[in-house]
Amino acid sequence: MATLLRLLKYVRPSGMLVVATLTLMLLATLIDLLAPWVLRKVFDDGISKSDMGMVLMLALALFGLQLGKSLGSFAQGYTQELIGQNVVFTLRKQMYEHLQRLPFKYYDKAQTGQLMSRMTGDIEAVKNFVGFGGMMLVAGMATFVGTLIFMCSMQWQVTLLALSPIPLLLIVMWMFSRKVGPAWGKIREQMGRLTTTLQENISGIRVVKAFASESKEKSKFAGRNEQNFETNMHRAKLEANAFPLMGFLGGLTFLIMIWVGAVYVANDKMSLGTFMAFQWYTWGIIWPLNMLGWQINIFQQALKAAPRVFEVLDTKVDIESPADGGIDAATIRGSVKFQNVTFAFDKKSNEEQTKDLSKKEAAAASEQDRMEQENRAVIHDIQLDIKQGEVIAVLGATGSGKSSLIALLSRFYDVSEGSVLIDGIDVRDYELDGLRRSIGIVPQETFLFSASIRDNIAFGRPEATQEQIENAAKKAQIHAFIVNMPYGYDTLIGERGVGLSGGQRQRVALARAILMDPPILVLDEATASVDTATESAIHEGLLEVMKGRTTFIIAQRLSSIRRADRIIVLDSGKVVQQGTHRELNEQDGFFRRLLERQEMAAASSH
Amino acid sequence: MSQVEWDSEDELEEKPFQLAYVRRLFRYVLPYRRTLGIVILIVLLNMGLSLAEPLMLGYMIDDGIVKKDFELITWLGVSLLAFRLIGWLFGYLHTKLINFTGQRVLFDLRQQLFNHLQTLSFRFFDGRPAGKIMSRITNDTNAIGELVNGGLITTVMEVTHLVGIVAILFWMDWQLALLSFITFPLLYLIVGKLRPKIEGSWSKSRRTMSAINGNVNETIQGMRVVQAFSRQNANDKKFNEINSNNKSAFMRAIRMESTVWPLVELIGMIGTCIVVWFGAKRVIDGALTIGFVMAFINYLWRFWGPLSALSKVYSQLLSAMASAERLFEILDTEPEVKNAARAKELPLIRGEVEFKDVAFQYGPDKPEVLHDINLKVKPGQRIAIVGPTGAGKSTIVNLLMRFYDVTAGQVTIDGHDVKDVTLESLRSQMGIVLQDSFIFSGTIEENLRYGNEDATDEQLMEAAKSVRIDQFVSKFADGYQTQVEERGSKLSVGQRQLLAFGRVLLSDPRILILDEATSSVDTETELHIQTALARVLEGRTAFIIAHRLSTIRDADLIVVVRDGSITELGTHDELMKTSGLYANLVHSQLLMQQSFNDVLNEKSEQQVG
Repeated sequence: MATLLRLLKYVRPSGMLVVATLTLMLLATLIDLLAPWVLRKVFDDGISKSDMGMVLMLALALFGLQLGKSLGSFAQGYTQELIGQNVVFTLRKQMYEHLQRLPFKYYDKAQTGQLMSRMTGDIEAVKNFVGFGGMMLVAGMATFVGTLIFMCSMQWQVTLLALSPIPLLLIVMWMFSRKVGPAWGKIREQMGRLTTTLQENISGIRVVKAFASESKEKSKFAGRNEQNFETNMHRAKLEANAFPLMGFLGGLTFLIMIWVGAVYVANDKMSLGTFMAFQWYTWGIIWPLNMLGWQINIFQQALKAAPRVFEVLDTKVDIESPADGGIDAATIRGSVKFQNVTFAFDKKSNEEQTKDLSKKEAAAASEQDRMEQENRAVIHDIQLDIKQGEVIAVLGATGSGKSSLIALLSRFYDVSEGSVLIDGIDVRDYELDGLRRSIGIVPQETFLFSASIRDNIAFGRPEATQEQIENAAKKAQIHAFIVNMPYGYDTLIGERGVGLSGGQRQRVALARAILMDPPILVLDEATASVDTATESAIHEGLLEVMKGRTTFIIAQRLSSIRRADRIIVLDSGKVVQQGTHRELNEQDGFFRRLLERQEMAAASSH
Repeated sequence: MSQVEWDSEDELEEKPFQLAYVRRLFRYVLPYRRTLGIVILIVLLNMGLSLAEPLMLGYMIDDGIVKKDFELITWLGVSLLAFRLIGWLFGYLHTKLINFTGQRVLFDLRQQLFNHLQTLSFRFFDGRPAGKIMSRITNDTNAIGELVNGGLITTVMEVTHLVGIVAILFWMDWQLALLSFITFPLLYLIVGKLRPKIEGSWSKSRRTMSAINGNVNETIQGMRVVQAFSRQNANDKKFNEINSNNKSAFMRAIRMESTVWPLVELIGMIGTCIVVWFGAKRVIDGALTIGFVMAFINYLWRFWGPLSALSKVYSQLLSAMASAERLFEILDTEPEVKNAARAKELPLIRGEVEFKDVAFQYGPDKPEVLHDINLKVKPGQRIAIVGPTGAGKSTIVNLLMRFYDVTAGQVTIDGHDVKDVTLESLRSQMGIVLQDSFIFSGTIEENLRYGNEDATDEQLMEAAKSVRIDQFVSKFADGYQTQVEERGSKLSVGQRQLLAFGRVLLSDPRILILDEATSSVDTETELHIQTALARVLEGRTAFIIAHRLSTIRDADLIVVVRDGSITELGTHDELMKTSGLYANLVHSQLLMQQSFNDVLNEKSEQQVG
């Protein structure tokens, strides 16, 4: 019910259209009801009285009615679909905009296939009901009731008798509706799972092939496919049980009407014309009833699909600008401070915790949870004070929390405890878009979009001039490569364009960040896939870029961190060492071991 | 997101009606011909019953009511009831069997597509967004399933219905029948004119829909970049545009579509009116009975239902044809890399690898990326491949895995051309760790076992230990049973690389290929892995692509690749004696080291000073 009410809210802006559609539908129904009445007149007043003038007039009247109906149903066909499209348009728009604002935390667990199937199949299912289906339901009901009124006014005894199978029909309908709802829910869920399996297989096809595990993948998909077959057959069985029975019961009304009607006419209790008209009117009874089964299906599908869409829309965007809009980030200069920062990925919210626990248990659980959280934290109580313009190298073993630490800066995640300050202001107090724009990131995993190289570099600043773009590309040591491509900066890359090697992609991503001209620059293993020679060239180019900017460099190779003013070494989410190269070289630790290994490698190379 | 309009690929001309496709689709139904035969039989019988109804009603009026023959009325009533009961049973069987057939065809088609996809080569996937391929397996197959489910039977049913009605009408009174069909040429003309336009507008609407799908898919996959660059507003605008495009294309199609049916009905009404007028006249003249005219009009009325249903099937068919075209495009794509006709099993690999005059280009119209590669590797050797980005390093190992076939020359393992052995026996003995480590959703253990489900727990632990997975797994509450989520998003990039590495080690490959496998792994872990590898790789051949000198130096053979050619070949010491790229590389690393030391000293001087 709540789902239905919520769906209605989406229909409300199209209120005038709904009114228009319903009016047109009622008009069409009325005309449909009038036609048999005219026909009755043909028999009773025309033929019986041998009045051919009357017949001609009535025939013309029939045509006139149809003309009205045709015009009406043209308009109605348009308006009812427009309602559906309006709803779909809004739902899609909302979902897209919402998806773009959901935090990273959401995408850590989200399945692309499920999201896609919600965005397409589920929204489509909602549309089918809201537009065409819903309107037909209303029209069907109107036709049914209208027909009954007409028939009762002509001969109420026969009409009422004919209605006797209707209660039974309603019961069948109700039972079907109750069972088919869950069946549709299962089918939608199943489809999402199938899509997910598919998505993984196609995205990971290189790994599948490398392991020659195609046959395993085939049987995995066959499993999903089989489940899909079975859930659909279950639904088909429900339909087979209900639809023909409903058809039979509807037909029974017709039969009773004819049978009893015939006896009535034979006994002169009813005119032949009325009997004829009844025959036409049964259409008004049977059509809505036959349609019902199908409409229940559409309705139940929408009812199961809508919550899947709403679920996404209702996912809280818990990382957003403060309510008052936040502090303008345009003036950020770039000093950064981490104050007692602790961070865990799967922090359970308090509501979730207490939902199914009594108070006492909750208290105990929360204590336990706090400890658990402490253990699970990837960043522990970090204190850092970074001056504007400083170049900071972040070192540490795989999984020590380097990327997580940096992610807190841009508020990709919010800290669990403590606070991150930029220019002395908590990052949570800034306007979010501005904050992120003032931090240029070259992420570890390069994602480029299916677009031209130019558009990819100008991704964060679509209004950038060609000169600015080229400048950024030059600093990222990719300009020469780009101008050598067949279409230069207009060459399409990404899924549908030219394939770039890992190192080339990283450099495009670097140019993308440089173009943002951010006061804070983050290079998260930005040159891991680049050969050493290019790497030093990039770092030469970066020297100028880094001037005056606070820069974080995460890297595994010493060559990348040579220019750092300060080095921070992380271990299991804690800062274990920090200082200049020299200072760290004097301590026994990660940095010196790294240095020794590289020295060894270099020395033995000669 | 994408500035590219996504519809270019779908601009394949949507041809109105392709008999070849229909015939080919028919082959999918063939296995179920018996079920289908039963369904058709049922449908035809049912149709006969329903066609008899108006006749019986006419009979009831003329002989029952008018002549007050109550016995006849009862008999007719009973037989009508019997018809309905049979109709119920038939309906039950029909619904069940046709759903079975439709779903089965859907199942077969999907499975066939999926299976075929597994055989297709890298090149097929290189240029295609995943979202597009997916929508073929889900949506396009659905369109065909629906055609079988609804369209096929509807066609059989309604065509017989139509033929039956026309036959009955002519049998009843051919003059009246001719009169009622007098408007048909007009109908034909109008519909014939409108149809192509409507089809065009529907295909436009479908293309705009696929633009939406493509955009959403890419946005979701690139979400982290979108948010990092605060691109949401620009994206909103772009999406609003394609969303609006879709809406207006759809509404345009609807506008045209909704003119057709009212027009058809209106023209049909002219025929009915003529029949009413003419029929009435003949009744008054005493040539026809009322019941007869009644039945006649009743049949005429029923004529439009099947016509409307058939026109819907026709548009369904057209949309299914477009889908069929896309599906057959995939099914007709021959895997470029496939088992040769007489491919044999590759025996247990010893590890001798040879590249003979190998050249390669990614496509006939693409430039050659490898030229004249000659390389001989002895069993158990460790080969390092070095060179600038984009030089062709990954391409070389891809050829060894036979992800692509060489354009010229030959790649052999133990003297067997990789083209002459089965892909399964080749790839299952090789292990490649890619730089872009793709992790499947599921647990860590499931991912580790991906290449070797039968591995014992000891083997699993050993593989995990040698790549130090055990170190981070122990920090997870669920250990090896931790769910890593889609693409392993629960793990850091370095951890993902380690997991991908462990996965390959556990599959116990005879030849190991590392394509920048540890670029995001810290040097300490890397050193550990190298030590472990020395043990694991005992006697096995390995190819290593890496940028870090420490990884390369100890290789038995260093191959320097530049612009698609091997420019230097030899051991570290040999290459250091030349003044080639490798020596340069080492020098520059050394220089870097020195300048690093300078930094250290300089800073210390400053601080001391």
